[in-house]
Amino acid sequence: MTGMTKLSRIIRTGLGHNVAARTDHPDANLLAALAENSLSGHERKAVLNHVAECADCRECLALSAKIAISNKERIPAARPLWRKTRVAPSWPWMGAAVTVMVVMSMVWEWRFLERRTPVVTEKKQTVKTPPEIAGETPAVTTSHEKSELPTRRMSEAIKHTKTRRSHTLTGTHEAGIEAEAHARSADEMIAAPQAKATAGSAPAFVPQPKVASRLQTDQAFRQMSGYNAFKKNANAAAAMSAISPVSSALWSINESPNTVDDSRGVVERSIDNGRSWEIVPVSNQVDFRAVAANESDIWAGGSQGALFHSSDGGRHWTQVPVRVGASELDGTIISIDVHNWPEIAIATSSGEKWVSDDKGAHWRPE
Amino acid sequence: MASLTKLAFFLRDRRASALGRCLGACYGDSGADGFGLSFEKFAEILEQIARRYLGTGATVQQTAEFLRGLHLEDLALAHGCAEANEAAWNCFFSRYRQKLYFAASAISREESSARDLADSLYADLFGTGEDECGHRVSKLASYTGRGSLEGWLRTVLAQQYVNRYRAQRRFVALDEQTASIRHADRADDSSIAADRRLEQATDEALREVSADGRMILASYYLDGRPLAEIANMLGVHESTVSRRIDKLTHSLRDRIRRGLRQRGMSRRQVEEAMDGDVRNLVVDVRGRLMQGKSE
Repeated sequence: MTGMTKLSRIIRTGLGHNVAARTDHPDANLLAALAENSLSGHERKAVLNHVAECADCRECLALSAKIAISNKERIPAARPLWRKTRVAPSWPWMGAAVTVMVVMSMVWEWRFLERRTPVVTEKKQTVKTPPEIAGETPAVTTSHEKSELPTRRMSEAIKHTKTRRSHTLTGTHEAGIEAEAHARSADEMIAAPQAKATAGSAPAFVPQPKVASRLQTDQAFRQMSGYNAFKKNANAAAAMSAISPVSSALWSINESPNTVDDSRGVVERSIDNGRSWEIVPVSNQVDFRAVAANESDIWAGGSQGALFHSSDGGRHWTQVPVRVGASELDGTIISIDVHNWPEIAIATSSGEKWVSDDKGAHWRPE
Repeated sequence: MASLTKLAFFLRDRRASALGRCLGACYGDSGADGFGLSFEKFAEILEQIARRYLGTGATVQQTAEFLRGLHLEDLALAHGCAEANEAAWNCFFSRYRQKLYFAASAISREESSARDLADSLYADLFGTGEDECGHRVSKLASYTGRGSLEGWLRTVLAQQYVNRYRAQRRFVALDEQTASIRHADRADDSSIAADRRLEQATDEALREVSADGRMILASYYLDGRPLAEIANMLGVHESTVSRRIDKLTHSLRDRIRRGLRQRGMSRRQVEEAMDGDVRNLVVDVRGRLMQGKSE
């Protein structure tokens, strides 16, 4: 006979001692309430004390539970016996649920903030112009120079592009395709202004690529890899080259947005490294042609000498008058240069150039 | 003194008005007006129930909280039936008639006895007796709303079954116990002495167990119920009951050993008492006989 079996008999014997003829049976109301876990405190203890010593009441309780099961009912509240009022929580599951909720809320907050506020880099990147075109400044040019300069610059850009094609840092096939598309687009862009110049009409817009350094080109390719960044429009190459060198949010001008008013250029922004672009509402009266950014300071310019500035990454814009005394800029702004921040240089289609040395507070023609 | 009396009346009236608001809310929630119960009648029922379980010293807040915890809709239905309201009985039949017959079948395996049991219960619910005023007395008038009406009906049915058929089962159990009485007569004096200390230590250990623990142990060791049945009785999971029994058993063993050592037994004697030959153990049938007498 094992110890536990002997112990069982001892316990059985001991329990039998406590049995006495009980007449103070709890009524059906209390037994039913006990079965449904509706009793608490001293009342529950008193009923349990009786049931522990009364076989009849235990039998009633067992039969009642049996009926409930047979009627396919569920007895409510699986409460552990040692907890009088609360249902025992499953701590691991609760912890997992709380963790998931916290992570999801953090992801949501991060994405929400990213969409609302452009990412501001702390480090100001300096532009390093390629040695081939070192020394050239984005100055105002004459019409014939206009056709030459972008061609030359685009050629230089494409030379970098083609060089990168064979050994993009990501090494993906898609990256190679994108590089090729980039080159094709660049070729088209080279042909377009030349054709326009040949036709004799003033080019509506001559993309003046701000030639990026090799570092930035590499960065642009890394960002583009695996994703077709040129699905948007043929000016994507220009868009990539118009990236402000000092902001991790990408800014661009879209000359032909799919909006009701297709004739006006709009300011666009990408906060996911060019995967997607969104139109930034600045002014629906202006045909925007240039944009530049220095951290959270964004400058956008366009027709009728309209220059707009945002100091909070594009959330709010104010129009900045470019004037000194009686002289005021009135041409179409086609270039904004913030490389030498706090100096801002803007150029117009009519050949004007204006410069501000104090972040746009005051302007002077050059 | 006059001001104190005035204050007492004022407080009593305030208390009454607060309680009245609570009773009004309970009346509205119960739907008792649909079963022909007036507010005064329903309030009287609620006050009786509150006095029965809380006594007369409960505060308004305690009373209100207690009343809000009752199954008010079931209470209105039951007492509507007790008042022989036709709408109440129609509702009662539609909800519980089929369930009661199924319940009786679940308890009693034979269909005839199950039907007999259900019909007997229906008769009690409808009320076959009369009080001194000649009003029919329905068993439904004793429902207090502490548990659901369905749970109450199951318990009443179970009680009727136990009252009717338990005697047969006890008779069989008594034969078995008689055999063990003859077995006990052979115990010698030393065994009786050892058993007495063991009995005392066991009683002392069992007294320290909580009410729910003793109920589980009684259901498991005395009644021989399976774990699933005990779990259903208490509304917990079967694994909970299993763990509880293991824990209680180990705890009892340690306490009994400690109790035996405190009563002068050596460690070897304790081991022998706990693990010795069960044939030397005196079975106290007094308790079992008392169970039979309670019928």
